[in-house]
Amino acid sequence: MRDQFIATLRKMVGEESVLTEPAELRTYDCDAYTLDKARPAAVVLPDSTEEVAQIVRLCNQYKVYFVARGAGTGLSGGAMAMADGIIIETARMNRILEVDWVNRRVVAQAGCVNLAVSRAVAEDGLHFAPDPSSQGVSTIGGNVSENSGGPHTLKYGVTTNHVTGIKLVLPSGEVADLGGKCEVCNGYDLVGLITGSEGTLGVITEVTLKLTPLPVSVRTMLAIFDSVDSATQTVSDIIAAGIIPAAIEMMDATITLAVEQAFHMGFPLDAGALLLIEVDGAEAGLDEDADAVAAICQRNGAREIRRAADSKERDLLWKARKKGVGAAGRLAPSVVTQDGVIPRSKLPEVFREITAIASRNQVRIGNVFHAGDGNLHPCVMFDERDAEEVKRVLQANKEILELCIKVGGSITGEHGVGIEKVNFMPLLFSPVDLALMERIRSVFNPDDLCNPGKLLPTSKSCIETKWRPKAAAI
Amino acid sequence: MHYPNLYQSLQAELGAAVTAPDHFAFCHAQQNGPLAVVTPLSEEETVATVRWAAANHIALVPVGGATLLNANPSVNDKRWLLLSSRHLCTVTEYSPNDMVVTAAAGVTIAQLNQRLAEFGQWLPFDPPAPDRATLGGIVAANTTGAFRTAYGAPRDRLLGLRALTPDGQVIKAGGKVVKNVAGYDLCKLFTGSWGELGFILEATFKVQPRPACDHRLRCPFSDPNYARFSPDDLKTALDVLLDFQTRQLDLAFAILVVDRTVRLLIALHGNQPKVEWDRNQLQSMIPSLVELDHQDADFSLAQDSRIPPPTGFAIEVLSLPSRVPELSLRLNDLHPALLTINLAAGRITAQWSHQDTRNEVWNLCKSLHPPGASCTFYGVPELSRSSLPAAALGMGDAVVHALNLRIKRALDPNNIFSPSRWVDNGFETAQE
Repeated sequence: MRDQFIATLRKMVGEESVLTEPAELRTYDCDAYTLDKARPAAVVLPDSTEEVAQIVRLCNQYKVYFVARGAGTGLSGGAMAMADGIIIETARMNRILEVDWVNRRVVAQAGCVNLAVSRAVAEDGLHFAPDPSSQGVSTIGGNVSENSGGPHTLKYGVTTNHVTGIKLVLPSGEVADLGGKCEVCNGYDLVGLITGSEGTLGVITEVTLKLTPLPVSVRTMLAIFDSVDSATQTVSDIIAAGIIPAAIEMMDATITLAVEQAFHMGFPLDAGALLLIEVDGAEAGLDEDADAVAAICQRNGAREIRRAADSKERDLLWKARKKGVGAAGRLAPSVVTQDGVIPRSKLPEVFREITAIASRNQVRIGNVFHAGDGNLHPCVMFDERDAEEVKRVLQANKEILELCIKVGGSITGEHGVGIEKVNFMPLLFSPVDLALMERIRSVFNPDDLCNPGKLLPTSKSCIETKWRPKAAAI
Repeated sequence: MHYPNLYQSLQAELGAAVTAPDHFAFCHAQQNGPLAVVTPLSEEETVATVRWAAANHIALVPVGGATLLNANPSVNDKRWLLLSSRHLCTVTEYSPNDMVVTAAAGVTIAQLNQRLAEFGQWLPFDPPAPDRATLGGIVAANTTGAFRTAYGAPRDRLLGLRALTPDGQVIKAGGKVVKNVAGYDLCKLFTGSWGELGFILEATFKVQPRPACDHRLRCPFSDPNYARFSPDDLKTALDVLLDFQTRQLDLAFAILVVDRTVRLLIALHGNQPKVEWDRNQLQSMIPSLVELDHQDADFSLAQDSRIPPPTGFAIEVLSLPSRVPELSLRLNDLHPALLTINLAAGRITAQWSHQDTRNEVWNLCKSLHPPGASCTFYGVPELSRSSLPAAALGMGDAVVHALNLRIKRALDPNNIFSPSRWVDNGFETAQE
C-alpha cells in the first residue's frame, strides 16, 4: 500500500519531486527543535496549489498523515512529520505573484522567503514588517502558520496583523480562498484563525500580505548595563513612560560572550546585559524620542550608550542580535530555546527566578530576547548525547514555562506550541477551552491527517500511543 | 406587544432584570421583535440566562449600547431575547506599566478611555456613539472609526477574552500579554462574529500612549455659498486623498465629509516637532487648511455616520483604497444625505434620510463583487439580506461559506446566539 502510494505520488508530481532515500530524508527528521525526531516516509516538493491539493487528496485516499514545511526553521517541532507520514515541502513555491503598490499588498506563494518580499518592494519604500530572526531563510507560509514575530513587532505588530488573505488547501483537498486584499472580509475571521494554527487546519499555499512604508529615519542605540536587573528595569521604565520604540532587544552576558566570539563586535565581556533599542519614523521629532529613551537608560545606570552612526553600524548591531541564538551554539553542542511571554513589568523578578532555575537544575542558560514585548528566549545549552543532562534541561524548561504562566503570561509568544509544548497547554487552558479548540480543529481536519499530534494535547488518542515525544516525558 | 407575565416569570427564573424592549427603536421596526431584554447584574446571572435560553430553545442576541443593533438585522422566526451587557461594566484589571487593560463587556469606550487617561493612555477606537458603544459590542462587530488606519482595528488590539458558549460554559481565548501564540486564535474568531458564537463577558486589550499632540485640520473643497457642491469638487478632493496614499503620508486620519459641501478633516498625531513638520508639509500641498478644535461638529458627523436618522438607512462599504474614488462617485450619484470617505482605510459610509433610494443602493451593492468589497447595512430592518448575493456582502465563495457555517454549527449547534444574523444567513443565500 505504501509503495503504491509513493508510486502514485511520483506519477502525480514527477520523480524528482519525491524524496524517499534515507540520506535525503535525514534533513527532515526535525525542524530547528531538535529534541524530538521522526523520519517521514517521503518528502514531496509541489510546484502549485493544484499539486498540493492533489497530494492532500491522495493522502486522504491512503489515510497518510501529512505536514507542510517551509524552511524548517520552526523552534517547536511543528513541521516534524509523523512516522510513516509525508512532508509537503513548499520550497519550490517561492514566487511573488503580485505587488499592488497603491493598496500596499503583495501576493506570494507560501515558499517565498520573508526577506525576499521586503527586498522586492524596498525600492518603493515599502516592506513586510514582521522580521523573525530567521527572515533570511524562513518562508512566508511558515511565518503565517506560526504567527511569527520578530524584534520590530513591538511597534509594527506580529504576522497576524499583516495578513489579509490566505489560499488554503483544506485537509479534504478542497481549496479555500480566505479573505483577500481587503482589510476586512465579512464572515468569521478565518484568516485570523488560520494564522498561527501551526499547519493543523490545512496547507497554506499562497498569502496576501500588507506592506508597510519603510521608516524615513531610524535611531539605533546600544545601552550597556552592569546587571540584568538594571537592563530589565530600563525596559519596564521605557514602556511605562509611554514610549513605543520600534524594538527593544536584550542580550545577557552569556549570549554577549557567544556573539563576541562569533562576530568580534567589541562588546564588553564584563557587562551584565546589553539593550539594543531602536526608534524610527519621520525625521522630525525622532531625536527627541531617542533622547528620552537614552535618559531612561542613564537613570537606570547604563554605563555606556553607543549610537549607530550610520546604516552599516546599525546592520552590524542587528546582525549580532539576530545571530545571537545561533552564536549560542559555540558554547554547547545543543541549544533549546524557550519562548515564554510575561507582562513587561515583571521582567526583573522573572529574570532573577530564571537565574535560580538554571542554578537549581545545573544547566547553562543564556538570554537573548524581545524585551519590549516581554517575550523571553532563554537558550538552554547542553549536550543532547547526555541523557541525564537532557532530563535537567527539560525540567528547567518546564519550570520556566510554569513561571511564565504564574506571573500572568503565556508559554509561547512566537515559536508556537508544536510538539514541544503540547503538554503545557492544560496549564494555560481549561478542558473546556481545549475542547472548543478541538471542535474547531475537527471542522477543518476531521480525520486528523493534517499535522496530527501538534498544538493540542487532546488530539486523537491513537496517535498518542504511536508516538510519545520526549517533551511529553515530564 | 408586551408580555407582563413573561417578564415576571423570566425575572423570577433568572434573577436578572427583565424589561420590555421599549427603548430599542430597532425592535419596533422588526416584524419579529424580541420577547424581552434581559440585563444581568453579574456573570452568574448571565450564565443562568444562557442556560435557560438553551433549555427553552429561545434565541439570544447579545447587545451592548445598541449602537449597531440595526446593522445586518437577522431574518428568522425564532423567539428571542436581547441579552444586554449594560450592567457588566467593571474595569477588572489595568496595568499601565504593561499598557494592558481588561474590562467587562459592558464598559463603554468613553468610560474606559476616561480611566486610561489618568495614565496618559487610551484605547484608540472611535466607533459611533462612544458614550454608548461597549467593548463587547466593539469586539463583536470589529468596529472602530477614523483611527483604524493609524491604530488598527479591534482584532489588532484584542489580546484575550472570556465568553459564554451556548451551553453556558465560560471559555478563555488568548491571554493578557502582548504576544501570545498558544493555541488557536479564538479571539479572531469571536471578533467580528456579530454575537453568533457566544456572549463576550470580558476583553483584554493592548492600549496605547496618548499622542503628545493631537492636531486637527479642515480643508474646504467646495464653495459653501452654493446650494450644493459640484461633482468636480468631489473628484478634486478624491485626487488629494489618492495623492496622500501614494506619498505615504503619516496621518492619524484623513476623511472627506460630503453633504451640502465637500471638506477634508485631518488629524495629526505625534510629538510636537513631528506634528509641526507634518502640518507644514500639508500646508505646502493644501494652502487652505484651517485649524479646528476637537469638539468641531464635523468630527461627530464623521464618527456617527453609520447611525442613520429614524426614517433613513445607511451603508458602510469596505474596499481597497484604489477602488474608493470610483465607488464614492457611484454612491454620490444616489444622492446620499451624508457621505464620508476614508480612502486609506478603504472605507465609505453613506446615509439616506428616507428609504426611497433603497433599491438603487441595493443594485449598486450587488455589483460591488468581485473584486473584493463588503457591505454592512444599517437601519433596513424589513429588508432581508437574502435578496443580496452573499458575495456582495464579502462572504467569499461556497467553500468559505461552508467553513463558516460548519464553525457556527460546531460552536452553536442549536443556533442559540444571533441566529441568521450573519454567517448562516449569507450561506443559505449562497446555496439558493
